[in-house]
Amino acid sequence: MKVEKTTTNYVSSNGVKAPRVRRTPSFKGSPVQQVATEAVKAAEKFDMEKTILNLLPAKKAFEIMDKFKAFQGEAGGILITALGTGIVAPIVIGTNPLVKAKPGATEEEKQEVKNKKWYTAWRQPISAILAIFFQLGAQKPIDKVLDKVYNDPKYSQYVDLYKDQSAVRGESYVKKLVKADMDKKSMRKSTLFDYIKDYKGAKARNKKYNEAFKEAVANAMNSDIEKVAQTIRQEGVIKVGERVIDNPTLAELLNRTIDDSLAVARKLRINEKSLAHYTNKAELLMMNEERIREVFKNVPQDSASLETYLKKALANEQNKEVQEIINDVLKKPKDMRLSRIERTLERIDYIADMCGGKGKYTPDKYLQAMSERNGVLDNIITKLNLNKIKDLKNVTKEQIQDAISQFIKNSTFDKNNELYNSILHDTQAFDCVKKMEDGKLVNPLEEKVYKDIAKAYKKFVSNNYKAVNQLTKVMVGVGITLPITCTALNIIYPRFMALVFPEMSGIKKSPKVEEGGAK
Amino acid sequence: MNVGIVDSAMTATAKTLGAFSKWKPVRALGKQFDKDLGTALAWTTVGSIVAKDGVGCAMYVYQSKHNKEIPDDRRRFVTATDLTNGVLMIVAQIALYMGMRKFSEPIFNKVFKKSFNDETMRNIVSIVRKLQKSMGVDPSRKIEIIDKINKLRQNGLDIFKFVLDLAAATIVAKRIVVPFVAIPLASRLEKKMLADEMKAKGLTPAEDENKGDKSTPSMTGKVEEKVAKVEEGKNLDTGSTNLLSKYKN
Repeated sequence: MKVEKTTTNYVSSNGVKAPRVRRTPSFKGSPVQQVATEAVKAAEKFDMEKTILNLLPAKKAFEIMDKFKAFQGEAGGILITALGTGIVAPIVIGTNPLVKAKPGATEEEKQEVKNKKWYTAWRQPISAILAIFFQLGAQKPIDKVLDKVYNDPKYSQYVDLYKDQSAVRGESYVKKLVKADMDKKSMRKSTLFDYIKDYKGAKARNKKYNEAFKEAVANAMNSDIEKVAQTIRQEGVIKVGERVIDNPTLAELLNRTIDDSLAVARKLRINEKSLAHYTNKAELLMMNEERIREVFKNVPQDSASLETYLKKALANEQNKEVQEIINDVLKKPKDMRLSRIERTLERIDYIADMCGGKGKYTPDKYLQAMSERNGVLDNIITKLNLNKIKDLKNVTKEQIQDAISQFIKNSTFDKNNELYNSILHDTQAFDCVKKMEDGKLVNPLEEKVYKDIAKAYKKFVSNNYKAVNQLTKVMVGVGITLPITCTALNIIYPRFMALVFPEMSGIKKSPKVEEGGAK
Repeated sequence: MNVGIVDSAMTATAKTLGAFSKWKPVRALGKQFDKDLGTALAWTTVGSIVAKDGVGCAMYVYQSKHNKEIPDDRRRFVTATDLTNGVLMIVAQIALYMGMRKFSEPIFNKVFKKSFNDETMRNIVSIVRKLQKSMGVDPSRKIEIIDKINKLRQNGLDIFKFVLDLAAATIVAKRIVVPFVAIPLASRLEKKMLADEMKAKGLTPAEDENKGDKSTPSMTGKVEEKVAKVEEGKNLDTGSTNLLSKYKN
């Protein structure tokens, strides 16, 4: 596969146009392309979600919440209920002031009531432990059976088409397959014994295993998406084994994909409130352009010197508006001040560009340029809305294919059109980059759109499967594990109390009870 | 051979589950899950808890009502408590769950205000772009970074809401509110049941001998004394763990 060199103009902070490496690189081997390849490698390494998570002030809380995500559903319900039953309920029952001895009761009678309350209270933690053991313990086997039935085409042919995950297998099922495959290849995780024998080696081996596992899972899941995307592209349908997803559902999935692009276009549009903010900000920057450039020229790169420099500049500055801008920078955390300065200079260049070049800024021109931007986006929004299939019931395969082609066309822009480029560049929903594939110039957006429809299908099937998964667990819980838990409680609770708290159970006082035993 | 049996069992399971998955209500639930996964998951989970409480309540009420080993006067209270507890648990859990759903998002916003205010968002955008530049990566558009922040926020909110709404229902409502309300209510219900029984027998309910004493009869030991006289010497322990069946001792 050959990929054409792709660069676009990028206005750097100092106003000089520099070649800007785009996301789709060339692999021809020239120095520029080498940089591009490295950029792609770096982009692959750059995990934006992880970076953002690390930057959140409440990072720890979000990490904990993320770990609980796996329990969202029946398992979470069981855990939270068990928490209430095991910890809160005994305290409330044992200390309930409404349950008290009669007025003027003897010490013995008072003790008897107290014993009864705590006897009853102890039932709760035992009940919670049993609920976790039986009800939570049942979740994994249920998932195992459901995963097999709803993912393995041999069995999934019997289930509802919208819940058949065999074409886009679920993560837990793929993980199981990958693990089995790695076991076959004698690839395994380090054991405790390995760690004792050679800690570093075992740790390195585990890391290697985890990386290989993660990669294999991602590859398998991507391959599913690619296969579905390919079938939609070539045959205009989604095939699930011998069955085919109906046209109205496929059309609905296309509409959802279009909605995602529409959301991006709407976010790019500048609303009335922001328009006033941007206009004021532009006025402030452009009226003081020369002075700002002078102050921010050759600023020190290390944060300590930069702070001294900015404070000195602020003290010496006579212009109140420039003072405001310097203050804005100083308000930022130390390690972000430099990028704030760069961003301010970029903004000045950007505003100038919008008005037709350096020195051509006027508030009217800027407002007009903003309106023009909004006009372009309004146009795209209208076209995309028209792309959506309205009559879902009677839609044909050809109509869907036609709508997909139109959608791709309306999401692609001419990279030579500066206005469109400045608005839509680097948005994943819209693209202008062409690449060479088998001697033909192709639009990678085409591939992306089909993949997005496949991803929408995966989400659709996965959500439908989650419904049946949850319902099955509820039914098993109510019909099977709850009676088992109750029966186990009936057997264990009196025996436990008689063994651990004989006095509370009244055994010492009534030996006959002991004789009868706890049945 | 074994493989054949397992395979046949799996096929039979798949056919049964398949029929279940095609059932209209299951399809309708699938639509709801597709529409709003977080809400559907939360509602089905609370539905499961309520269903379990309903089944538990029905079992306890049936057991206590038909347990001839519990003396008549005690059986009324035991049945009344089981019924009041069950009904209150269901009503209180649904009410508090629905109530908390309105408050959990504002609580989340208040707790995590610092993580998602304009200033933090701007700072995150700047740092991400700066990091990308330092790695030789094209800096992402602001909307892309904001989208990722919002996605992270939404994931956190979904889990926070799930835990808080369920905790309000199963911990606060079921374990704190209900136990305090159930006992006095059960006493009232017991009196009503006694009055109904007397009326059915053509008798007038006796004057309350313990006027002014607000304690629950079974807990104060008054009934207990009477029972002790009637059932003296008889071992009444059936081993049942039904909460109030212990009163018969």
